[in-house]
Amino acid sequence: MTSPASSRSAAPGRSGFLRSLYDVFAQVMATSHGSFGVIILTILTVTAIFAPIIAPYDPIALTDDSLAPPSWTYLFGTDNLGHDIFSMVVYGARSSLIVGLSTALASLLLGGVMGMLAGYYRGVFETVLMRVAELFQTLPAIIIVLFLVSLFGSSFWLLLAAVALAIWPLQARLVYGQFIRLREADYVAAAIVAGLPVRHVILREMLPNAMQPIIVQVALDASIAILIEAALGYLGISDPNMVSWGQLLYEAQNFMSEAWWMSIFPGAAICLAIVGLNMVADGLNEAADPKSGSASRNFHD
Amino acid sequence: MIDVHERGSPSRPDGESGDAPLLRVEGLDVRLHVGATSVHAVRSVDFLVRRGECVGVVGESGSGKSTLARAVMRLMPNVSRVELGGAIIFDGRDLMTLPGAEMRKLRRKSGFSMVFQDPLGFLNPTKRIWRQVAEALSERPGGDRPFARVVKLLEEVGLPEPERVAKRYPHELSGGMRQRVVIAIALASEPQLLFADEPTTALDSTVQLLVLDTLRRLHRDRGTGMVVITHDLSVVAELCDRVYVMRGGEVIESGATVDIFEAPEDPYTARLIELSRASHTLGAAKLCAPASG
Amino acid sequence: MSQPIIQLSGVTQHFKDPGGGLLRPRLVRALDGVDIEVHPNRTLAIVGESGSGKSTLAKLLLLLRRPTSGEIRYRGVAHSSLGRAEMKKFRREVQAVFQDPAASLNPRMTIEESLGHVARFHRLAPPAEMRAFLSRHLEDVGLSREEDFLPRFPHQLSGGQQQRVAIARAMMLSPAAIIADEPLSSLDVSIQAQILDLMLELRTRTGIGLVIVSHDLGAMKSIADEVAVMYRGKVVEFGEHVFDDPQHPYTRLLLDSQLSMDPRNRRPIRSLEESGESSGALPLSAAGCSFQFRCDLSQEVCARSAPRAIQHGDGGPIVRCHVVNNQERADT
Repeated sequence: MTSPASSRSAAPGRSGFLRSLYDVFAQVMATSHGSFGVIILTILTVTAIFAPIIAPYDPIALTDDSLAPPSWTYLFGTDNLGHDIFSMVVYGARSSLIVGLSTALASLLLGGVMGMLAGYYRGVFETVLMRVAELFQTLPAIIIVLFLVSLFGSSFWLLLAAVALAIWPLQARLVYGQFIRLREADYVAAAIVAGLPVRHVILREMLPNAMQPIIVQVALDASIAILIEAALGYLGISDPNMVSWGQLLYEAQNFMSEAWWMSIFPGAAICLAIVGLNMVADGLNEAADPKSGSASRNFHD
Repeated sequence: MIDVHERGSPSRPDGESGDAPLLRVEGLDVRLHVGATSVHAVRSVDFLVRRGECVGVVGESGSGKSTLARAVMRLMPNVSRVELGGAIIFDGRDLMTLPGAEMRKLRRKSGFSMVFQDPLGFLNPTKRIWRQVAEALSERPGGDRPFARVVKLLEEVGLPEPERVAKRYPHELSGGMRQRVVIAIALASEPQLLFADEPTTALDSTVQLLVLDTLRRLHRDRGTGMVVITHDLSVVAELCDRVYVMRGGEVIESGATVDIFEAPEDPYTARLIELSRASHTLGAAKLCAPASG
Repeated sequence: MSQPIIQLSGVTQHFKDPGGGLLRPRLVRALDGVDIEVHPNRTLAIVGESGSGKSTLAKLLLLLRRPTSGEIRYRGVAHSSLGRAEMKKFRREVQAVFQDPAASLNPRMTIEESLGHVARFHRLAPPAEMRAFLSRHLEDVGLSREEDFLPRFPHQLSGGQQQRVAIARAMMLSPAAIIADEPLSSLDVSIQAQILDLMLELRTRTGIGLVIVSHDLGAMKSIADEVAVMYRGKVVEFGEHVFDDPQHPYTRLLLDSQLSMDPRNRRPIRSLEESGESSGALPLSAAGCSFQFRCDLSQEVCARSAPRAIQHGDGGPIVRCHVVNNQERADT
């Protein structure tokens, strides 16, 4: 519970949206799952940003050894062509995180706006938007991506667009559900009764109170996107000019028995990212657990 | 006054044990810790329920009345750390030291049951009524079929056409009927003591009467001991033999309902009674008194 | 009487019943032909049990919903022809107080933000004087300046204080009418009295029209000028002396259901037959009077046709009951 003193120091002018973001972060860090997930993601992010410094070799350059097992020279070993796997995994963090984050944010934008409008206005909006979302949802994500890639060829941007298109309905449905619920909240009715404009009601009254599950969904979306990208890489239809974990697995396919290190390390990296994102999502859910809320409410009675 | 020495002594002759209180709470202290904050929710409360007696615990929100009941039933919110002090003696056994398994047995069979404010939260929406009641039945080898016993229970709590009600789902019943189903579930384990936490608060006044009638009939016919936790003094007036008035975690006044209603000693009790009376007698008196706090 | 601020005539509101079939959607009549007027300087109590449609009525009075049929007039203009400017004026003139004060304040906003947004949008005070303006209005509802409520969040206030803030938010717009939906029911008895007192005082001081929707007959008795008793979407009785001289059998049943507050004179325990309850949900669209199944006056005519609302004498109560109305006709 916030003490009166601490909230008094909170800047009164700060926007409700930013504050709710900060609140969410603080709550996640307070849970063991969440803080662990945040640590994993931080490590991955730092790795991605400082890849040139961390990686001992150029990921595309060839070393003198091919299929060398892990050693102090090549931490994760080398592949059949002589690429240093550690360096490739480090650089792979870049593409995976970019794919994960940007598609999750794109689907937040697309799905969020759709969900908000459908949930606030109901009626025709609701019917049309939600049917479209359902249509996309019934098609497995990977099919949508395969279809687009086969039409337009695989480039990095197309990949992003395709993955985002595949996952936005998840976010749309979630935001829609939240807004349906919040539309009935008394403080939303109070804002409407007080004559505040729709923009204010949606962005200031409703959205901040839906942030928690939305951010959970962003984390889950990101992990789904990373998985889809890895699957595409594994199938060999990812952008060939990109070093990604999925692609490393694709290369490793033929050397499963001779060079376990070619598949183990990229695979572990994918797992780490997925686990990290899901732990953050868990932490978010834990922080929002209604039980903890009701405990403090029952407190005085 | 309570005789502290009679605590569950096995040497007592059988004839006298009928006079021993069913539930005796002595110096109960409950502190709840959630995060960094802690609340002293119940402060050295003495509390007594005799066999077949209906006792009211009345107070406003924050008075500690619900925490008291939950502490006795050992149903505390598991997210908070709870510090308990004092003694809770039920039917000669100290609940403070009773192991969890024994405690569960007490809740399941001829110990005590609880009726909550919100019946919908308590009932499983996907199961027919009779199954939910049957699950709570105390095992009685060679007795009637469960369905017959359930119907008998539903009839006892005053539900019209119990066979039809038994085959329904919770959402097909009205709020007052659901609450009586919950009471039937509570009775299924043949408890000696029934805790009712705000049993009529969520109900309309005409329905509230039906549930009150049910509770009063049970009290009269079965002689089940009852603890009714409520904020509503009129429920106490209709239902309870004795009453404890709580405020800020303490019992500020207790005694026979008639005495307390006619001559309250504590000014807070007096004011509560005055306000409730004003609103219940369809007000000759002006409802509004000078604001205090 | 003066022109009403809000006037509902023949207002009906249907909802789709989620239990109905896909092909034959069942309609629930939440409101059925309701006529109500909100006048300045009057307190109208709308009483009834859950499912009577009283909360739907409150939403319609606030134009949070549009009726299925019938008309809501705001200062003489029908709701369907309210222009943008008139709608904006309506949103200033007609304010609300809700049941759960904790839920009616945005949990993520300080009191200053919650009230400030409204005050800024309606330009109630210049930015430099905003704090002073808000403090003054909080003081008007009994929240002292010294305690500095503005930077607090709703959860840091007690229920009574939250409800005062909600009332302040409504009052600072200098409304012509306030619609309060169960403003007392989630508050403690001692706080209820204070809030009722406050609303009554504001009503007398500012001459607003006050509508209180409530299931608590006792509280309404002490403050209402007029009472509308609702049962299953219909106003079954309306008048100034409903509590002293109830006409409709349902009103009598409601009054008779009040507990005694006298432990020496308890109500007798009724048997199942006496309570007259049946296991099935009452039929929804049955012909005739909707109260016939619970009514002890019920006659043959009650099953045949729905009673019309008839006024008993000049300024007398308006009652919707065959039996009572026939007696009245026989008497005069």
